[in-house]
Amino acid sequence: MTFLRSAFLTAGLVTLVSFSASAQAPASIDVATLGPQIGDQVADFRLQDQAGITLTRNSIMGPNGALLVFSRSMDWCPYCKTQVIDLQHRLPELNAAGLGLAVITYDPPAVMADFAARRGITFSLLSDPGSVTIGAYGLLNTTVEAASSNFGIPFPGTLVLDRDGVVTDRFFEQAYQERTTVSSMMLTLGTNRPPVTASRITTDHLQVTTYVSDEVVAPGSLFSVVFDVSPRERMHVYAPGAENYKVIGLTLDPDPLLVTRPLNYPMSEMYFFEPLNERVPVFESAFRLTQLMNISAAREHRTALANRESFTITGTLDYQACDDRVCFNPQSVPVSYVVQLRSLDTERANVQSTGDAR
Amino acid sequence: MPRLTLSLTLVAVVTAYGTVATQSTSTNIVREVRTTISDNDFATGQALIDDYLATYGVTPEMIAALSWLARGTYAAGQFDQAAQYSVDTYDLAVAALETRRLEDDSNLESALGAAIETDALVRAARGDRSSAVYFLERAMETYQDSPIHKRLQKNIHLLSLANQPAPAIVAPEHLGPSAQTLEELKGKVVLLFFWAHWCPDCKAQVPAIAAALNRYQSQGLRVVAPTQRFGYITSGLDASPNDELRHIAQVFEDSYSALSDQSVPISDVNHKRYGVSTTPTLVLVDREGIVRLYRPGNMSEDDLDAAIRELL
Repeated sequence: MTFLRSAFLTAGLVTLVSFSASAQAPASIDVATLGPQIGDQVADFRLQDQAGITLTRNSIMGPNGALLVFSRSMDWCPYCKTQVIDLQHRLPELNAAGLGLAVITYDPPAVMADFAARRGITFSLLSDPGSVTIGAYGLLNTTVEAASSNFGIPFPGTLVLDRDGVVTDRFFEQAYQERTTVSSMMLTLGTNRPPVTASRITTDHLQVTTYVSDEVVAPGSLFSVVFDVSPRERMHVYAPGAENYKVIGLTLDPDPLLVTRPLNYPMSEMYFFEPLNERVPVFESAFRLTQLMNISAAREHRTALANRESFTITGTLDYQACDDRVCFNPQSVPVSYVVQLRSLDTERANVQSTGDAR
Repeated sequence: MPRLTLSLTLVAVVTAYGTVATQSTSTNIVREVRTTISDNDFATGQALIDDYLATYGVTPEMIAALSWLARGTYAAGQFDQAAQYSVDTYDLAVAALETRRLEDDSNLESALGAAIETDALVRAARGDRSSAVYFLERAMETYQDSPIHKRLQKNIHLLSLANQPAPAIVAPEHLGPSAQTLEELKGKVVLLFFWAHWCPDCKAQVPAIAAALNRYQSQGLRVVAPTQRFGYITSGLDASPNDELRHIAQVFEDSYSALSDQSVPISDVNHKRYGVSTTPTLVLVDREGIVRLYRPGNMSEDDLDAAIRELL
């Protein structure tokens, strides 16, 4: 009995810890399945922006569609406000890509107007009183108590829409602190350009242009380290699934303040090595690797990050290359990147709001 | 390992210019850049090329000037920069050759030859002798009947170990029978077969070596098959020295069984002494202990047979 109780308590604790770690999104809710999926056409809406202008799904569109960002609050949510400031910085790139932009929250128009004025936000911040649109899109955060002043917030995330309102991509994160930066989204959408600060690495086997997607990031901003790799003439490197070879990969020096996702690989090609009748997944033509990461937004790291102005990311690009006749010794190429740290926007609205600070 | 951050001006140029401008120019960019190189002032040399590009675009003269930056930085021991300039020169020269012939343009001939030569020299300077020789041999195939062929051949002679005394082979650890030293093997013809556990081409080389052994062992042919640890095993997983040794033994048993009676010294010293950064690399040592063949990459059974017969 004692054992059983102990086991039960442990299980309960795990659940609580799990709930706490992901805060609003306990393990039972998978944000990837929430709301409109790729290929779905989203519903129309009629919402007022910070200037009192009513906008619809069609009116936010640029020539190539729009980003529709669901956010928690422009009053009390520092991650949300910081993301919107990032969006404002990246507005020229979005315009150049022909993408419109609008953010939806449950805040009243006065909160939106206050935030837009304080932070110089020029694109549409749409108020969704009663969270009607948020609910209609299936994104209402149902883990918030109905009696809470925070009730009505969405699970935060971004829908990429074409001009017909059809979802072409979506960026939703399990942890409420995490937001994919515009640059990282552009990478996924294939509309980015390497910055002038990109490093060019030449080895005997590869030409690599590498860069970090964002020069300035806040804790929780999901940014990317990018490798545009061109194998030199006749050369190939090994792709995931190659059993007996060193697969090309990025080894980052461990840092408790840096949270990383698995390295993202494109589709590989199949290399047939006739003498051994062997088929191996490789990369032979130009390809891109992206490593998504963020500076920790965990409470326990706030002090460590408080006085930091920049953050250096170091590691190695590891690979093994062969051509049709010879294999080259495995290589380890050092890489490093510096990002400037942007503080989270913790300033509250100067007008009456609805929610609690978080 | 080369690592370089450059102004991306040139990258953009390499990307943007599919063809090379045909108009002649009044400036002598080659001479001007060479002057800066004689002062080891590569930044000014680069600036001159940037200015020239802005006015005239890519021309054979500009490519030749760039090749001088490759040579100059190599001579100054700036290997990363030299490698980058070599690759840039090579790419521009190859693009230019889409619309003209190498033999018709001395600037392009000079630039292309220098780019390949400098790339090889940088590899050799970094200890990658086999990679340097292999790179030159592949370039010789590509430019077989061209004016730069002799230049490439000269560099192979320069960088290969051929006609030099064979460096000693050490065997602090080994698979198979105890390794005899090359000194002890004097009087025999020795084929050194440098291989790696992750190397498919090495496995493919085994039948030709086994055939040669079968044919010529009685006439004094011996095979020594040095290998080394690389720090990982199957699937690229990091491995302890003991685990990797076990893995090497397993790979040898599975894929090199035809050579199971031959000695396999295990040490990175041998690879360094022979400059082996590519596998397989085949080295033939004559009865006097002189290297007679230094061949990165696979050899066919016929080619290997012929090379051995010359020494028996």
